[in-house]
Amino acid sequence: MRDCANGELRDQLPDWVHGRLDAARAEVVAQHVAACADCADEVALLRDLGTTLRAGAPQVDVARIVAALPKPPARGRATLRWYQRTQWRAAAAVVLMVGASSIALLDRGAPDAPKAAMEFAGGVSDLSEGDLQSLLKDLEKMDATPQSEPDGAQGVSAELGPVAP
Amino acid sequence: MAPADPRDDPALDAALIARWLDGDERAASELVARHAPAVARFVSSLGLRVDVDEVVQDAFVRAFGALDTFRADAALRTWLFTIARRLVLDRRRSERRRGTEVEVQEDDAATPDDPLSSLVAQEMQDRLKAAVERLTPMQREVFTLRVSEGMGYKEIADVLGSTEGAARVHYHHAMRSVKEFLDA
Repeated sequence: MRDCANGELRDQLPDWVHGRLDAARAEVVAQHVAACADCADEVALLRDLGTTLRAGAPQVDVARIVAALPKPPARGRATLRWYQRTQWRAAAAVVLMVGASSIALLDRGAPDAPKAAMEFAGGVSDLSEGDLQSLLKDLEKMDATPQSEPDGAQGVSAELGPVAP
Repeated sequence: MAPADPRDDPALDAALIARWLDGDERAASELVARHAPAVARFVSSLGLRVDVDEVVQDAFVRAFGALDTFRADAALRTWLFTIARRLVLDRRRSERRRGTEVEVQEDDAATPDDPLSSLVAQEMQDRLKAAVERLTPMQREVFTLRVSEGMGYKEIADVLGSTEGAARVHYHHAMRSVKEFLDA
């Protein structure tokens, strides 16, 4: 039994026998096999070998294998991971909104607002009447801040002015 | 043109896997029925003479245990073969540690009490079988996957943890050896 000189085509004979080539390539191989005795012999050999090898395989008990398999992860409903379920998504959205709002509020104050607030809390008795009135006005402005975000937090800080005197 | 092999339909496998993940246990039966005979053939080609059905079952149990992580771009059968091959190698390693391993010989699959002998009656089929049994273990693995299962070199390389080039060389050496045996 001889080998065809067309090595590339001979290499594809098993793919052709198993129907794994696209239509165009399969047609090329089919035409070649029809005209090439060596490839026709090899195709016949491949088919005989395939039949022989498949016939010699041990029998398997499908039912026994299936009985040993683990149960499906979810019965009767789509398998969603925990983070894909609606209630978890809603909870995550609330947490994100609260977190984002807190960050936005901190950003609206001066960058050193926490420090200033601490200083203020430590010395409130030292404030004059004028200082207190000014602080109350600033707080009223903060309460009136609209929910929609301006273009930049820096503009809001400039509008509000310093939190501490 | 040769007909397309329905065993290689990845879309059907993907649909069955999705059904099983959705809780449809009947999909498991279909998947096992589609692939178990091929996995058994492959395990048998590795020279395993006993417990073939046990290895096949273990391969499916492991595969289904991780089916939710299975990548849809891979072929299920290739994955099953990879798992089965690893199980066979682990089993050999374990037997070697216990000192009970019987080394796989080149003619291991040619035992007189092999059920294959009773199934294959014709002289030509006996000769074909003998030709394959003479191959080296690696050649026999590659040859079986290519000729019996119709796998491409890339899939074979994935199963064997090798390269496409090496798989191609093993296949052609095996084919040459088979032809020489039949011509002798």
